[in-house]
Amino acid sequence: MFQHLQAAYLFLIVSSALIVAGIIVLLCLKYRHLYVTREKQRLAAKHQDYIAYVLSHLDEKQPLEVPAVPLGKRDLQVLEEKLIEIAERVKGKHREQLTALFEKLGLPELELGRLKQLPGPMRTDAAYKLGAMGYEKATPALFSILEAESDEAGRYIIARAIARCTRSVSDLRVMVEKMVESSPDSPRLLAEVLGDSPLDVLPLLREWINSGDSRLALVAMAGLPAANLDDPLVDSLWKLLEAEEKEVRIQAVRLIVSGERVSADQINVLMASPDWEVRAIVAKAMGAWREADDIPVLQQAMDDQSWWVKYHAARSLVKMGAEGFQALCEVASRTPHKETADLAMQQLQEALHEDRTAGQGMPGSNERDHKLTIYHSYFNRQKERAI
Amino acid sequence: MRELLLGYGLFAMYYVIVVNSIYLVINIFSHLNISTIIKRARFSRFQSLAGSKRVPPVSILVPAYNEELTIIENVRSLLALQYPEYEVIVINDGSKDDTLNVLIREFGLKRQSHVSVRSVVPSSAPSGIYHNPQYPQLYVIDKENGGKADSLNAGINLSHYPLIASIDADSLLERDALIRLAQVYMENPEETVAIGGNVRIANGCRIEDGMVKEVRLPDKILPMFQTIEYMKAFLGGRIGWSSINGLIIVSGAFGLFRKDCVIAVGGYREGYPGEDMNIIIKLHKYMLENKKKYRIAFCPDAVCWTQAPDSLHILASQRKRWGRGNLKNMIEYRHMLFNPKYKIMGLLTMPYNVLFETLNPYFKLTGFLALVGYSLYDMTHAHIVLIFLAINLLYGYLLTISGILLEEFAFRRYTKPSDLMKLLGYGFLMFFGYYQLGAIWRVLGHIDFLRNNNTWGVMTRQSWQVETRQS
Repeated sequence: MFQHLQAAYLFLIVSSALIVAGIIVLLCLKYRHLYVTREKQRLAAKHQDYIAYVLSHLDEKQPLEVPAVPLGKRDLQVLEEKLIEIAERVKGKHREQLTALFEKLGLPELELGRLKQLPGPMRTDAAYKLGAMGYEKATPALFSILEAESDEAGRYIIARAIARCTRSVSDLRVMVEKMVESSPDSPRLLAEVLGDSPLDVLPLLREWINSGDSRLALVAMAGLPAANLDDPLVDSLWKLLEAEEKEVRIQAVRLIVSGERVSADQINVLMASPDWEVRAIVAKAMGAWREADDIPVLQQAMDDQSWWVKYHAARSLVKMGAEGFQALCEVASRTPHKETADLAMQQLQEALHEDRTAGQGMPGSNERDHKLTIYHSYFNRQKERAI
Repeated sequence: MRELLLGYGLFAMYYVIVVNSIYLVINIFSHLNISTIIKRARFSRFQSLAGSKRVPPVSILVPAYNEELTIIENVRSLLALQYPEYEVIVINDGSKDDTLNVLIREFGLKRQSHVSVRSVVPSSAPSGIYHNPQYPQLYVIDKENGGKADSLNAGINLSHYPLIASIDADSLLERDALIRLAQVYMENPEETVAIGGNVRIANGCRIEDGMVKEVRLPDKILPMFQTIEYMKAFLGGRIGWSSINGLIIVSGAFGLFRKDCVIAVGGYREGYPGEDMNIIIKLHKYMLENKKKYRIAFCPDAVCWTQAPDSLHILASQRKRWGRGNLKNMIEYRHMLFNPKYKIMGLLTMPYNVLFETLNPYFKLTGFLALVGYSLYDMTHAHIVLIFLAINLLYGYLLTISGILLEEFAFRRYTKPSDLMKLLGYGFLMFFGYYQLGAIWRVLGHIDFLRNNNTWGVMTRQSWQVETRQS
């Protein structure tokens, strides 16, 4: 009994001490934060005119001047925060102006010093700020902390900083390869990171698409803007349709159909794919192309095994004007499958409702009237499917 | 008899120490992991991600039962989210009030006479689906009352995107909440099957146009207690559990899921409350049994604001429901307990849940009574009761301080020094009545379960405008 009580008293003493320590830490944190916030507000007001000067002179050819007054440590912190806010919103020449100003103020060197700290939010903060400043000389230091960083969130922040700082495409290649090797697959986020680089990454993406490495190919495909697809790239994408990994095939077809219409033969090849995702993507793309020649293919797609292929085929058909609308009416009226009929009817009614809403208060639309006539010609005879 | 009472009382005392110590270890994991949270929250570029086509689209599911007072603000806040591509599916679960009609009126919805809905998970058939092409992202499903799980399943069947987010109809999402969850998902899309968001108490906050404009602590005592309780559970607990992949619950108020995984486990379980815990246990079980690498993550900077019950009657109903749901889940998945096949879930999370959540009130109450009985035999030993109470109080308060510290390190939502004082003061006050009531409600919830009472219980809402005016 006595031993138990001794243990209990000891426990109570330790708990009380920890509670008191916790409360002291909390109070210190709160008052320190309040003090820093007030100081920052005061200094932000003090430098308001200078920030206005920066904003109004970003377009000029002359480099931006540093403030005329001497700057303390806290002044620099506040200016850094304000200037980074601006740098995050601008690109090109404006960003270059700010990069030069950051260097004049000596901020990148300060942040480089902070990079040498132990891993944690402070070091990540420094990496983030160097990235926002686009300080090229920080690239090697950023690479070394990328190696040492253990958590995913931190790695992506450092990778983004490298992408923004480096002026060498080969650095980007190394960075992405390191990320792909040591992190879980995340092609979309890596493509986002690459998108933050001021460099032309197209040659790199082209290289990865042809690399035979599916992980790099996925990053490249996530990063490729549809507008940049030239013939050699499209050829490479077609080759990827034979890749072993389904995700590669899906992303390849997504890109192939994202631009101009592919030929009828190619559509037939794609619509014969064993992957329903591929067929659904093509069915959806046909709605964006709005080519009347595709209507029979879409009508056929309404008999597909996959609900998603039928869904996108129906949505594409109603986007093809009166002709597509009529084709869908035909499908809805003849199909023996309830699911297909419901899908078709749902899209037909949505289209009519949309036309009615769009045309409210406007003189009668011929297109809308024509669709309504078509609809009634099919379904007035079949009361069970009337609106 | 006297020795027996003392023995049991001492056992209960050590039980309190052990259980709180495990929770303290989880809190330490939370503190160790907080730097990752801070990094992601402060330095990821959510603004640019919110405009990117590379972000996967999401179907937001909003089950609604008698939510006429809050549903419009909720839907408006969802339609204003910073997210590139998403849809909002409100499921009216046979509401007895005007929930459906206020939605129809507000958004000019029209009933679709022909609807094609897949049936990938079991749910009752919709009696109508409403849509307006002017709000192409918004769908409303009307169906007979079948419970929250049934509603979520109906939403999954209609959904068009690969990710689903479940949101309570009485909650408001911060504009960047969803994109923050998406960032966590995109860091590891292959392995991430679910991500929980942080639920905060909105009582007392100033709310305009479905957005929390000014964060304030509640004025009323019950919501204030719940604010501290949520802080302790979400920051002190869930960050730590998720860091060891042992999260047992993603709050039904706000979570993101991979739809294919939810379908693979058969969707949400109907018939009992606690569907939010149930789906997570099923996901753990499915992934572990199929030897798939996975993670269930928690993202505390993705914030959802919710109305906390401000009357004892409603709070009791909620806590009894939670008690029922918890007990049902523990009984249903008892084969996972102490089973090494289920790794952290089987060896730590579930045993801890049984010991701390399910059995906690019994041990604490009976231990207290045993020591009271013991001291009645000999009043010179009455101090042992006080020691037992002091251990409960101080260890519990230490964990409260830990939760507030995490808030202060990472988020600092409550900025004034008086807020901190209030949190510390009320955090202490909670040990005098509130926690004891919670224990009693949990026991009553278990009794309800044994009596097969599966009703949802009372849950009345008030409009966000009223909430703001009152504060």
